[in-house]
Amino acid sequence: MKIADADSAENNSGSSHYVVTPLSCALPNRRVDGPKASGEEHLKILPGTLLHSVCGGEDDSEQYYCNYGVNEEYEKQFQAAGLRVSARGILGETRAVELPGHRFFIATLFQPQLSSRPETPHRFFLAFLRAAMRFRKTRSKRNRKARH
Amino acid sequence: MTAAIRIGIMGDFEPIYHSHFATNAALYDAAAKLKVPLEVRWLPTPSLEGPAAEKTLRRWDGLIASPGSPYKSFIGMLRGIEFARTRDWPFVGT
Repeated sequence: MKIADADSAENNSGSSHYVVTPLSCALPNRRVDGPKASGEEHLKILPGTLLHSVCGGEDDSEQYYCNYGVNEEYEKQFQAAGLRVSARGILGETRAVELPGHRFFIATLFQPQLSSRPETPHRFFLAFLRAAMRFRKTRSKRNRKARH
Repeated sequence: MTAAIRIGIMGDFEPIYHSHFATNAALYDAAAKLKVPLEVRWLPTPSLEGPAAEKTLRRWDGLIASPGSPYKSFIGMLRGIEFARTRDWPFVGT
C-alpha cells in the first residue's frame, strides 16, 4: 500500500496508520472468556474468487479466535494495492483476502484449522497442499532444466 | 516413493495454543487424505528477520502465517509474507 508506518494497533507503536484494529463487533456466539471473535460465524464467500473455488460455494461458516481485524477505513487502499476481498461477514466485514494473479495467496480472519477433522480435513488445507504439490513439480522441472 | 510435501509454518509455536496444535493437525490430516507424505517445520519469526531468511524460506513448497500475534518478531513475519507474495510462493495466513 506504500504506507511506510502501516502497523497493527496491537503493536501499540504510535503509528498514524493502524491498518489492523480491534474488532468493533463481537460474534453472536462468542465463547465465555474467549476473544471478541470466537466461536462460529456464517459468512459469504464471493463468487469468482480462489477461496470460492476452494470451498465450493458461497455460504460457509467458520471458526474464529481473534480480537483484531482489517481496519475498514483502509479497504480501498488494500484493494488498490491488489488485494481482493474474498469473504465477508454478515455486516460486510472483511473476513478473507487474496491476491489475484498469484498462484495461491489467501489470508483469512477465521481459522479453518479449528473446524478441520481427521476424517474430514478442511478443504482449505487440502487445496493449499495441492497447490504446494503443483508448485514443487514446477520447481523440480525448472531445476532439472537449469542443470542441463 | 513420493517425495514429501514440505510446509513451513511461520510463527512462534506454543504447545498450549489450541490453534497451533490445530494447524499441525489440519495439515497432517489433509496430507493423509491426499495420501502424500508431509514434512512440517515451524519457523520462528525472529529467524525470518535476517539475510539468511530467504534461504530458509526457499526450502519449503508452501508457507503458512500462523495465528498467535503479537509475534516475537513482527518484522520477521512481514518479511516472510513479503517473500511469499513477491516470489509467487503458495501461501495461506489464518
